[in-house]
Amino acid sequence: MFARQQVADLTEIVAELDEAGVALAAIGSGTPEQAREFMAKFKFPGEMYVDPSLSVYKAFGLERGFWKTLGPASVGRGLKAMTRGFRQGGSAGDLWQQGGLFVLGPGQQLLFQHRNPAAGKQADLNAVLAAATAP
Amino acid sequence: MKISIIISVSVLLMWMVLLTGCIANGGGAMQDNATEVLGPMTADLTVNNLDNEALAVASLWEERRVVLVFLRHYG
Repeated sequence: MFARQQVADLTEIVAELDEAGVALAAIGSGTPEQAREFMAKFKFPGEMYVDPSLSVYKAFGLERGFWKTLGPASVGRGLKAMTRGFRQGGSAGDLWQQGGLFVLGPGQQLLFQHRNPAAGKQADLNAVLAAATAP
Repeated sequence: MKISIIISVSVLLMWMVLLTGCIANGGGAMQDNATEVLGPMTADLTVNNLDNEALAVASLWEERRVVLVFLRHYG
């Protein structure tokens, strides 16, 4: 559900990213087939890659854990997302892995970093946009 | 006896709720937009594209700026 919400939110800023010449890419924890299905269903407007081993998630220091997915705060955010019309589908990928968002490059520049401390606690997209489009 | 069991279970549940809330919030301060330089952490790592071909993850931002989103799961 949170992945769907995130895709919907990113769709709103993709035009501004395009205008600034900034690419949008996602990494998921499922298989390429699951990623294809997700992209087709929810129209993710960027490039998609997969990391089923979670080694890249780990290298970026992203959180993982049962309570980070099903803790009260996450459940509350889930209910809030449901009021926006998002629904939980079947799980495809690692259910306990948390996400994050980074603005990177070119080269070794790290311009923005956000590691979701728990499910649904995503980056502020205004801050993302500011970092991504800064000269 | 029944009352003490009920009290014990209630205390245990409250503790679990508080604990999970703390863990779930994780201290919160995990966002930072200061310019930094990536370390060598990603040098040898790969991701697969949708044709299941491996590529160096660092190639995603080597020559361009990218907003890179890590999704939880496809659900």
